[in-house]
Amino acid sequence: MKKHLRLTPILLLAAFVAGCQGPCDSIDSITGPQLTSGTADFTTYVAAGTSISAGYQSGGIVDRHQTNAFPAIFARQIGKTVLQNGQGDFTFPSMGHDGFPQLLAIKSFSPLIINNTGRTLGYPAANYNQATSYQNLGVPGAIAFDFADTTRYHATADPNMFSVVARYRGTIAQQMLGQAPTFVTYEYGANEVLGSATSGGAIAVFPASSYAALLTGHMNAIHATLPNTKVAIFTVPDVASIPFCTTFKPYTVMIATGAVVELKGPNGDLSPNDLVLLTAKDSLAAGTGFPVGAYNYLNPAAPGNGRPLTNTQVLNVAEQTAIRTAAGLMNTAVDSVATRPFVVKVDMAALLSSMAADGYTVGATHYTTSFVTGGLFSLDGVHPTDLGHAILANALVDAVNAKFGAGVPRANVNDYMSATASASRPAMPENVLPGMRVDGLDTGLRALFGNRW
Amino acid sequence: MKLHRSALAVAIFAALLAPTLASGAGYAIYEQGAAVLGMAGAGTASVHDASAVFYNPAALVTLEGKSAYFGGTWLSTHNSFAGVDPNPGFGVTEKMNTGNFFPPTVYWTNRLSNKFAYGAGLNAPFGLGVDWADPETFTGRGRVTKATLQGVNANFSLAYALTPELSIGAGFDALFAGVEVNQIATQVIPGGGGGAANIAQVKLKGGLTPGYGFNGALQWRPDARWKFGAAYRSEIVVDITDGDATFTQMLTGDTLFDAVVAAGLPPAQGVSTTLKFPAMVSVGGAWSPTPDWTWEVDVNKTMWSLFDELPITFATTTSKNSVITENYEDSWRVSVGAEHRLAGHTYRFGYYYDQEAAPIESVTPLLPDAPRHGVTLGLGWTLGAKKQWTLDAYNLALFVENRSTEGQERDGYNGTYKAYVNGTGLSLAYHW
Repeated sequence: MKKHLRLTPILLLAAFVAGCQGPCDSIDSITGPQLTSGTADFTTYVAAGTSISAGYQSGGIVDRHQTNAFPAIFARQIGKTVLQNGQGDFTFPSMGHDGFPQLLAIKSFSPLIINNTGRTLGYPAANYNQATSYQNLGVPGAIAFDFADTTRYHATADPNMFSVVARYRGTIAQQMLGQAPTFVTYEYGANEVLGSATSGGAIAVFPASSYAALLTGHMNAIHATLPNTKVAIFTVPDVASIPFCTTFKPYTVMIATGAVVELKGPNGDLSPNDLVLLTAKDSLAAGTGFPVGAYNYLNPAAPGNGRPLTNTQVLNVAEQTAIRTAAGLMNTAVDSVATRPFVVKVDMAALLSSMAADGYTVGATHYTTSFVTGGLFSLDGVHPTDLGHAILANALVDAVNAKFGAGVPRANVNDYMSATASASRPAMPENVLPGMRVDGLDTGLRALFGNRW
Repeated sequence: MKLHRSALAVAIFAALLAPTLASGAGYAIYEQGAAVLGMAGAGTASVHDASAVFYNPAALVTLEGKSAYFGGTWLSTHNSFAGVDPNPGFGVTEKMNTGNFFPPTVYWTNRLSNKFAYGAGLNAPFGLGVDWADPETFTGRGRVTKATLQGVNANFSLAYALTPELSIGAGFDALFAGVEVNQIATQVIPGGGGGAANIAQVKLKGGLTPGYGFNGALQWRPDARWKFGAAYRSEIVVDITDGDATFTQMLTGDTLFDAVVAAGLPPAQGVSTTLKFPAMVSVGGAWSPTPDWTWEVDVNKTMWSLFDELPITFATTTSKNSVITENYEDSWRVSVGAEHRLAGHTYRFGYYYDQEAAPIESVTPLLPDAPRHGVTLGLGWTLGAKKQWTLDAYNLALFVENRSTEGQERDGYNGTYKAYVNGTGLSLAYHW
């Protein structure tokens, strides 16, 4: 009897352990905050802008990525339905197949071959005949001038993105205001300087004063027509920090001595701060741009031939300065307009600077602005990936929440890490046509890969 | 010599069988004696069994004759995590596999005279056991999927009674520490939409390596009703220089990508790190209002600020070297316990509060440190014709506060951690 009494407390302890409820249960999941709009109103959202707004990446627009363009992500965060067929309550000209134009794809790593050969051209089948204007009015190649002026709509080269998006239904401004949006994103400015950057300065920068005047005029027009509508505008990023400009170094080493030597440009030796553009790939692969006897970092089999790179292949320091000066003036205009109560600034320039300097870490995966391997820029070296768009969308969310006291939930960036930026990569065919072909980058790629995690 | 050899054998045995876990702040384990644990660990002043080797070596002179003590705690852990945006995202939940750990304790004490006593012990005052379920999809897999830290301490202490009321103790600690961290390396799929793929299983393992420290203690027994104690254990730093790092490729199914990954995968190689085990100081006061009751309050401070970083240095692929910033802060622990000695048995109860040591930025899937509330209940029996056997048991219900990273985790892995630990311990001692 006494022994039984002694065992009782032990049995009680055992019962306690076995019956652990509550504390032993796993934690409940946390649901995101509910959308609140503060002083903003998200009833009708229309986006106007450039290829970035359109979701262009890897050289084209395709439905899979259009649904992940930052305006589409933002639309989702404010409760809109975004569908791949472009319908739902945030519509856009959905492009099927492999995109319009066909998106670039990696065909081989060694040598690195990127092209869109053999891919099927997409067309806006699903909702091209939609009777109303699209909510995403982003047009690849558009500048602020195009917002309310159709002069360039039908003069631009094929493929003409204006005919796909604007569809001869009036200016972007008319189509936007016609929907009486309560919230607008106005993302222009990048193309004003990008043309100059990607042409090595051959195309002049759009005059910053003209951009400033257009921006102010457009804000006035929107506010006059829709006095309660809130507008998000974007700063102009430093386009000289995109992979298109930063992938190739302006120097190499002499094979015999190991001495560092500058590449050759149209005006003699490049300076260490000159940028060799992605468009120089074929010349570099042939040894052009490398001094005689110099190591060709792109294609060691073709040592330097001493011939210079052309003006359009190099963005020299003076050209960079012109671009940065223009972007600075444009951003001053953005700052000035953003002081108005209905306008919020999204600092895309600061975001890109931060990415270029420090990259971006999600979990233990580190992303950089490196070409091909970085994960933030698509295969054209200019446009962000889905993940880049999600990060930009969150910058928009943060800015809107701060300015208008809204509670728009941030997007989960993990939802925007798609497997590829160009649909699935096809198996490498044996005879790849030399489209965008970069031979011999594999050694450099391995070095890049080696440091990823 | 014979004792020494068997002690060594036990050390190796214990090390092999003792994956351990942190049930105290950081990666400390306070479960080192069933009787004291019945009082929530409040035993620095009143400890009166062989676990004095750990809790207060100065009390060894109060233990008559010789004693051998074997004990262990079954710790059962329940850990889970709920994520928030932007990473890993709202709605995401993760859990660890339920852990079962048995940190063992072995003590030996011998009072040589009224003035001199010595004690030796083997226990695991530090440890960590992390094992996230479904490692290949666990959202924190880049940092850790599974990790163990073992700290098996071999301790020898001497006690000397300066006066019948006041004794001091001092000793030597050899801490054998081993560590293993498993993680899954992810890499951005090149040219992709930002997706990352699992590309390699990474295993970093360091075998048991000794580090050395010392301890000192004081016990003052002014009268039959009062006891006061203080104990100090020094910090121990263990440099593991002979660890092994292995990288096993995980195929993604994309042959282009896999070929590049294979070319860039580091070879198996040596890895080194430095493990830091902080100093601890405890002070306690015990009051026995009647001969059958003892109440004690202890305050313990652990110098966690020692744990500032965790370096990982590879022998060959030095580009992968990293230093994980931890920046821990010293933490406090307060415990209150009581013991009631009845004719047939003794019962004990207690409560402790253990402050977190990790700053909010260091609350990670590797070490989701949080404040803890421990409630304990203990029982003891004296057995045998000559009362030479003592059996003690206790149960600890350790309620770990849910801790949110408040969006500040160093690697941007944010959410709330939940944990609960149940400890059930038993010890058997023989005195003669």
